[in-house]
Amino acid sequence: MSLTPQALSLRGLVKRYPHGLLGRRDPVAAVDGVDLELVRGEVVALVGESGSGKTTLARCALGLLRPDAGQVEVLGTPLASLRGRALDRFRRRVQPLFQDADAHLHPALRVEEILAETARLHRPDERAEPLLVEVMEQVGVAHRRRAFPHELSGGERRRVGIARLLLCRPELVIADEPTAGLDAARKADIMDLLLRGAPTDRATLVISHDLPLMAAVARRIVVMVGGRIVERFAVDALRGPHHHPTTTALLAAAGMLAEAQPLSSLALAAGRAAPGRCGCPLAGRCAWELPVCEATRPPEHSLGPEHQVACHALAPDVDKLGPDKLGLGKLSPDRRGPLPRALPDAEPLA
Amino acid sequence: MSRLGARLGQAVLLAVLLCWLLSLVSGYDVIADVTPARAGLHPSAQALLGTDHMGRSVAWRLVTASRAFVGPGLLAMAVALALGLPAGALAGYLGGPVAGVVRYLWAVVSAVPRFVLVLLACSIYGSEPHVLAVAAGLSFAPGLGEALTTRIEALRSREFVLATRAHGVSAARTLAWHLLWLACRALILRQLLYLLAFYLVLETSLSYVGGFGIEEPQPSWGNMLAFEFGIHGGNPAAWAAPALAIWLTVAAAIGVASTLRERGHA
Amino acid sequence: MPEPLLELVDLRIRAGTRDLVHRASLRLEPGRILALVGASGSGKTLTARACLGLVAPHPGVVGGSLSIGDGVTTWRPLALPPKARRAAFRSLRGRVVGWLPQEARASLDPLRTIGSQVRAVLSLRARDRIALPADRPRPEDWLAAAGFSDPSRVVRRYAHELSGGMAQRACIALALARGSRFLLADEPTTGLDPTVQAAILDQLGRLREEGCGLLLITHDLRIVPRHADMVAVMDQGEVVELLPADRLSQARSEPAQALLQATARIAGGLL
Repeated sequence: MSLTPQALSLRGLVKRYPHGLLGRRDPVAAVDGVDLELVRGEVVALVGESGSGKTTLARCALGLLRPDAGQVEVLGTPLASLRGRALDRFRRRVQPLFQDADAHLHPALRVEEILAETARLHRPDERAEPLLVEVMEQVGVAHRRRAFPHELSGGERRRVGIARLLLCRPELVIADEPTAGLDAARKADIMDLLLRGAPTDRATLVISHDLPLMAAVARRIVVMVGGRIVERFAVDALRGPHHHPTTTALLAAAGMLAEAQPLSSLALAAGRAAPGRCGCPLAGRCAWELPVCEATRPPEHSLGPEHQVACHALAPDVDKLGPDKLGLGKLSPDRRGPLPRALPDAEPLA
Repeated sequence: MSRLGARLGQAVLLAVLLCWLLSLVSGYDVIADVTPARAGLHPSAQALLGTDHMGRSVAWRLVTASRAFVGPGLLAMAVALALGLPAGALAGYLGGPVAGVVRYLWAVVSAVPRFVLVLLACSIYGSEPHVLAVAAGLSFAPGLGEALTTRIEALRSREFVLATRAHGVSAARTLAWHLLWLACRALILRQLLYLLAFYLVLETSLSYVGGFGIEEPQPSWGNMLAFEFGIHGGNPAAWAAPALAIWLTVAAAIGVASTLRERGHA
Repeated sequence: MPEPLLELVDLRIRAGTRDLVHRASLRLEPGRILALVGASGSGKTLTARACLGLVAPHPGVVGGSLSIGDGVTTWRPLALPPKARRAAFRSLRGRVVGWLPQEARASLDPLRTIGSQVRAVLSLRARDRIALPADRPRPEDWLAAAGFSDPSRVVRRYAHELSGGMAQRACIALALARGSRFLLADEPTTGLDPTVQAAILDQLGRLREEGCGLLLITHDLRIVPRHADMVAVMDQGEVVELLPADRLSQARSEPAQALLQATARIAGGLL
């Protein structure tokens, strides 16, 4: 077992889906050139709205989809070099927690049977029953061990998924919207269950569109739009002055901005941006659009230590473009407004 | 269908199975039983269902006749399984060109009506029970295969299959255990029960029409019905008993099939 | 203080031998948004359904008083005998009390265009003799009032062609066109992306300008300070506290504090 510090390394990841009737139109890139790294022991949040490509990215990282370009390296091993039985055996070390809680458990198996299978597969040298009891008590489903998945509540199904994960003791966990559909009050519980007591060498990638929740649990946040990563920052910089328009829109939606912004101008900055264009995925829908945004993909600029943004409007040399170069786009310049700032007096994060 | 109905159906099928076992161990000799002097007797204490037009015990012939149906029925099911299950499951799981080829084969076979297929087989290979059984099994393979393909295709894209694979379970075990055994066995059993019912009706009708199926003096419910029905003044139980047996067994097979459910909520 | 659109006093709902709701009191004024919050199973949806007369009578609503007013008349359906009660609720639904569903796309008619559904609702409005504003004669105007930027395209669309957020906006347009005096919205933004959620909640906020009221059921306390005027906290079938939304963080009852604590960690400094 290699002990490289890298838990996950994605370089230039591209994954396309066929588009249009019989796939005749050009394929759409759900993931369009992504670089992402996780080191052991850290919790990283991947934030974006539906259609941003985050689930596709997760599936490529788990080896459930073969990328069209780029490399995926998990725990120091390139996934492309593993096939068949070797890949199946490797899977123990990287485990998913799926979004659709209704469907990630086999509908014809009881809770204890699901967990017993995991124990048999991944911890064959130990006696199953004590393991099962321990992990069921830990997540709080011991009293439902004989139930079928359809008899459980959404939160309970989520807990069974976490129990399965705990049995495997993976080194990398990729959780896709682990709290979707749960009460706001329960979200924190589930995240606690997932993260508290994790071994120090386990890396966790949490995918979500709930920015305040991610701010409470992650150390680093990565924002994705239209198949591309548009911002990366450490969670302390969340309250900082400058963010990508998408991040700003998400902050505004969560009520975390100082000035109430007219959401109509910001709402267009996030959401279903058209992937696969040569320019910025938000070109044509962004309040801060410049003429260069349509033609050129913005490179990542550094706004601080551990803070990178891919946005032309936030580039250090944007003043050189001058006011007369401001694009009219769909929104006139007078609605553009100043770049909003996040709430200045931050409560210390729990 | 009520629980009582399901239980009754299961009881009938079990009874047929017991008859079959009984007939294997009993020493009933069809030929030696012929006693013209006792022809046409009505049911009495000595002969439970009376005798037929050749003086043979109707009850014993009824029990022995199960051999004509259970053995070949099991053969038909085995043929349907062998031809339908692997191809159907793989087509559903792999999709793409494999599914295309398999579906084409099903379409070709099922284009021929089942009865015609069986008669065709009989005209080439003779009309022994095992020919009927193989032909019946073959005619049911597309139905079983297509049902499996559709179901596995639907299940394949569901998250729990993805989760199973992500968990490190091999593709083979996912298909065989998680999909076929846990989520499809009710479907498979249902198709096999329909096949059983079909076979019984097939054998009966071919015997009735004449010349096919089990040859006299070996009994089958079909040929018992065929020979006794037209006889005047004989023992009505001689044809009513096999008719009732056929009807009950077919109803039981189809009834039990309709109550089968996959485990949990698959 | 103006006549309330909805006033519920000591509602009691029973199923079998258990009281599912046993001291629910609410008050909704015109042009105001009342948020009804609580953990799942606290009785929020049941209370809302009681306001629509949609609680199954096993035995169902067994106590309390409900008054619904549209500024001109006040109805008290629970004080009537069962048959008259059913008739009263039937006449109130749609005309006075509207409903915004949780799953918007599934609640729209899948076989008709959005435009034709708005037209159908407008004809119901005409049947109930509710005045039609002069500046909104066509379905497109109602869609625009619900925040659609391109109403002429949306009128021709079918429910399955709309995204989750657009479908919810269509339901809002239908509710506006119907002319209900107030709406009950049961978790209308579940499953939607955050920016879409915020946009829908803002749109609902604009109902205030129409003089409409809104009873918003939600489990997410984070949206309450910004989008509601008053908040009622429910716990185990009882409304334990009723306070202005901007003072939610100062709630004093135990259940409210428990909810606040559970949500505070993930509220990004809001609560």
